[in-house]
Amino acid sequence: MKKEKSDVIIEEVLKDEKLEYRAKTDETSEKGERLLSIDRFRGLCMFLMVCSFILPIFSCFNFLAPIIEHGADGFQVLPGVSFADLFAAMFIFVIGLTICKSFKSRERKYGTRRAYWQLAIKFLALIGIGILINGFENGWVDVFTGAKKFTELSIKIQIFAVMFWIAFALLIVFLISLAVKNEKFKKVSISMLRYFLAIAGVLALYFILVNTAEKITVPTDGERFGGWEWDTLQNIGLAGLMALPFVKFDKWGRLIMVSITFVVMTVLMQNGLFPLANKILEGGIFGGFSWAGILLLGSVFAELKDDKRYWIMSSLMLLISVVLIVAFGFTAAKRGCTPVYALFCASISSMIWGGLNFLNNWKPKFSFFAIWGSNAILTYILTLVISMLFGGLLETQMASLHPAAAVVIVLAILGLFTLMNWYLRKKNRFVRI
Amino acid sequence: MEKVEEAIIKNDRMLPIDDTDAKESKRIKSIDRFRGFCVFCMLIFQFLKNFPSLGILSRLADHSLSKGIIILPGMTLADIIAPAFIFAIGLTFTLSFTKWQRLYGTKHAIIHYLERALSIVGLGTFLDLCNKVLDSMSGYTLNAFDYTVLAFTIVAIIGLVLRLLALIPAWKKKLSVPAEHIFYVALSCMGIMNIIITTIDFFAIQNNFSAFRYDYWVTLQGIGFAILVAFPFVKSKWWVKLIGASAIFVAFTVFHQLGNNKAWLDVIVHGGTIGGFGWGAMLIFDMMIADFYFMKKRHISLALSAIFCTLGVFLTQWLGVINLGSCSPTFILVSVGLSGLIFFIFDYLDKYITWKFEFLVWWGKNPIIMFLVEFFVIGVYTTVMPESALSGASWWLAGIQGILAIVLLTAFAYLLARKKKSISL
Repeated sequence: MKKEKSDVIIEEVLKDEKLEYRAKTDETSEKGERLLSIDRFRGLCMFLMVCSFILPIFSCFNFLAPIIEHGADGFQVLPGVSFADLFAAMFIFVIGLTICKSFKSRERKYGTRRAYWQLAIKFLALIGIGILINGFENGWVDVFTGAKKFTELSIKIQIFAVMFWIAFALLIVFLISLAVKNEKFKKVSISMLRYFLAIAGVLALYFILVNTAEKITVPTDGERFGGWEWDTLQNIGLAGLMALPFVKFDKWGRLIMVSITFVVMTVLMQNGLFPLANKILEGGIFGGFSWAGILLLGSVFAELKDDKRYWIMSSLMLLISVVLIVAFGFTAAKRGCTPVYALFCASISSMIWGGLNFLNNWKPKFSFFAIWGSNAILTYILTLVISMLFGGLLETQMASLHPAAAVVIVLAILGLFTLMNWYLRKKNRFVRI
Repeated sequence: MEKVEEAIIKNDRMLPIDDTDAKESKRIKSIDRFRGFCVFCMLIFQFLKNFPSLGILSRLADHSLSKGIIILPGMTLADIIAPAFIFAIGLTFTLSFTKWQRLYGTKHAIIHYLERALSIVGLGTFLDLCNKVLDSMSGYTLNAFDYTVLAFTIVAIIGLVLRLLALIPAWKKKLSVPAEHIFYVALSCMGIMNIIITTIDFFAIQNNFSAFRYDYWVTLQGIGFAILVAFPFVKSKWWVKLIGASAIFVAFTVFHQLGNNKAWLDVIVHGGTIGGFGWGAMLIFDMMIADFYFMKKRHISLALSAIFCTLGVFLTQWLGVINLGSCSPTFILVSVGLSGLIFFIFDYLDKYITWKFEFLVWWGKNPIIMFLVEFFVIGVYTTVMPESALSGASWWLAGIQGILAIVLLTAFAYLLARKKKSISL
């Protein structure tokens, strides 16, 4: 029987969807099922990170400061490490849980070189998103609130502030392409957006590298050609980029690389590097080594999931980090990301994930954290937007808000995020770069 | 626990530490080796302490923070040896009891183990008495308690002599059982009395630091008392042990941290009877780790050891430094963990190394004899030798004495192991 044209189209669509779904589900078990523990852990990190962004906007939640404040203001789990300092590291650990599978699945489909390329672009784009949000936050918010004129902004901020609107326009074009349902148009628009973000990422890396070099060579001169703009998304992207050359190593190879890096960086941090790394959020390039270490350790633990050595490794890592920090006074800090901090966070993360793995067979209909973990990047970007809107533009109004109103707003934001994530998960839609 | 028992019945790999007179099959060498390591460290390092010219070697057994080798905040290398020995007891306690229970019945096993624990305390009392008698020659006046202990010691010695006479085949049937009863009961009574007067000591100290003290408490009493505290949990499942030990640990921690209790506990060696509850909690935690080890879940045992150690170091931020003297809560946790980690080094080495020279195994088979030898032989040696041969000795003379002590004691341990001779309580 001859197939109708419409049938062929439907088959093609189904085929594509299957492929796409496979590509999307990097977080699957051997049986092809999505590992709930990864989503749950990511959801837990996201929920904590969102709370740590939203709650400080309202002064009535000041009593929660020990839980949500970073550094010395928060509750000190270890000397130099607050409770809130654990969230970002845990999130990077979760990325590490899927990075190797993601690479392998791309490698199978597109070949090794393209897999590297795709992931490199992905991480550069992540840096790009972060730096463009910085361009808006440190540029346009100041301009809109009248704190500064555009010409008073540094050249770096001016560049990123302009690029922000270009990226915004490209995003609109991409959203239109989704509505038009023209595959070619869709492909071109998403590629343009992605590569534009990656270019922004390259620029951000360039500025921070130059500034790092300046700080080492002429530390008293301040900023000259480089820029110190850096934030969480840039940090995640950099960690991914730095970890990328090692994703094809086997787990022990990765572990050895992390161990060598941590030893070298610890020696350097204990002998004068830390004050410089501590000047920039998350340690910039220097901190990147340890953040990449956390990510790679996540990938090692992902492969040890059903291995007896999982708990031995995580507990010994925890022991080493706690002894070095508490007993021997090694410097531990999120800002600067010292290796002992990274080791501590990675071991805590591995223990939480190990615990969540025991719950993989428990599948309630409404799994709160699994829902929150399904669209992390989208949730994070929206959180940044909300915190900029409420904390930046409406800062004074929000700070003096009545506690009841603040509670309602916070619950509404959390509820909307839950609803959004639930809907997208239900529709099998995962926003990824 | 059923799994542990099954492990014994199926594999029959293991026999209790002191029950060498029972039919012995295979032993887990790493446990003997680990126990031997503890005894070796206790005895030899203690001996080397007499020779300052040996430098770092003479500091190995030093518990003081000014002289000892500090490994963690408040903790010297020497502080880990006694807990490691307790860990070795914890490793085999359940198996040993189970074996005894299977051979002689529950009631007999309970009586035997209670008697044994009290006898270990009693043996410590006896050693303390020996020191006091020696002190009496240089001016110390023996008190009523010393004389009471002396009386019980004479009874115990009578029991021991009768037991030796029972080695004569014609007298064996008649004398053996009553001799053992006399010996054990006398030692147990000494143990009970020691526990009472040490508790009195603790409350006397609370009123006045310089109050009159009986001062009868050293390592053996601490070990015996810890066994008594841990005994109710000997047959319980791992999670009961965990809950029980945690409850004792929390209660002890609260007590330790309140008021001046920490300082008072620090006055008596190892915290005395009150500190003994901390040692008891330590032993129960050790037994729990051992349960996983014998359930063939060694990875969990190792991970648990690391977690205990981590928790101990972690809590120093709020509970204070690791202090052997008062048996601080952080000391309990670190000791459990660190002892476990040391044991697992031996256990993992066993996998990859075939030992030809088993000297630690020989040392580990007869800890009680080695203890007594150290006390009497080395004790007498260091008392009678002139200062010029000890603290004034040059490094080479000290070295020769140290090597001789190691060689002779090892030869003695080897002979005992070869002849399968063992003294057990």
